[in-house]
Amino acid sequence: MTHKDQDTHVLDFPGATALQNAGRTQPRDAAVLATAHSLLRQAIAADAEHAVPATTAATVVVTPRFGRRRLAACAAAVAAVAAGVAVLPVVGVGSRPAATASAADVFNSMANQAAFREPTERPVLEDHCQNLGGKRQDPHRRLLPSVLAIAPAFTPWVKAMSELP
Amino acid sequence: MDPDEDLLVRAAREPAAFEPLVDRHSVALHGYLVRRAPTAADDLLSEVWLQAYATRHTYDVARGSARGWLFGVARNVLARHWQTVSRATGASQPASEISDGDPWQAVDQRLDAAAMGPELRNGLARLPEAERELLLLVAWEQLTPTEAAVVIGIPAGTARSRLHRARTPLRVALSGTTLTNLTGDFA
Repeated sequence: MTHKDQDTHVLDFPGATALQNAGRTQPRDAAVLATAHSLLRQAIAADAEHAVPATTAATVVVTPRFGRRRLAACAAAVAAVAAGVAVLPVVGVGSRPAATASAADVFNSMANQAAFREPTERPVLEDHCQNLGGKRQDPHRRLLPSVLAIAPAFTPWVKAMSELP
Repeated sequence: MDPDEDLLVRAAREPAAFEPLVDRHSVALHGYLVRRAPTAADDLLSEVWLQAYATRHTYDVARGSARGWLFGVARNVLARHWQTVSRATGASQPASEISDGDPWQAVDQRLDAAAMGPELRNGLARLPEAERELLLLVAWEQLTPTEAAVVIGIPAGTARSRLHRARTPLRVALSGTTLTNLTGDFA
């Protein structure tokens, strides 16, 4: 049964006809409609008065939300993060041993673990740090010094980019 | 002839496209208002059209027919009217006689004036407000359940199930009852 079929059966109860008849009204006075029309025309006319003609409309100047300096700084920040992600797994920090895996190996390994390991055996990142370091370490304690060590290398470049005209 | 939906969408850019809608729907909207607020219906009709014109850009053709949308505007105008009446007379009348936004009192008086069968009148009075309103939108305004759903702002499926729930007790209450088949017009 379609919705239209259902619609035709809405009023299939005893007394439905009496109910419909009780809803009948006398035709409205023509003046009522004339008043509504008149008020509406006034509203339309008022709108037309306030509307600005297209030919005289001021040119809208779209100001870019980001200037070149900000854009360069953002690009530098993104590049720094990307470089950090690539370098992090293979650079030793302080007295800690350098990892032997490449960035591609790291991501492949993480993807494999996410895909095939039981949910209870995750988080992937923590497992990975254990594999790379040879012993279990807190991933946060390992990552933070690495990021801090890499950051100064990018500082002059970020500064130069941000001072572009 | 342009379908109502096209006119209403066009009216957002071309205000003049709105005017034909007044001719097409004033009778139905005035009837809706007269049945619920007989003394204020004439003024409310103008208010409905002004409100509909002012909010025409909010009409979304994907959400239903223009007819349903216009009745929705009329419903909002009527609700504000009843709230005003309720506040103005609230001090002198019991709260049960006039509730905010529910014109049942006027409808009930209308059914009474039409010498409606007492079983039907009582059956309607016992329906929850939401179900009764839907039933009257279909019976009196000749809206489809889908259009009535747009008026009230509920999904069409919900409207159908509420209408089904409204019919069931009426069938039970009125089965075997002989009702006067009313004819003629009632102001």
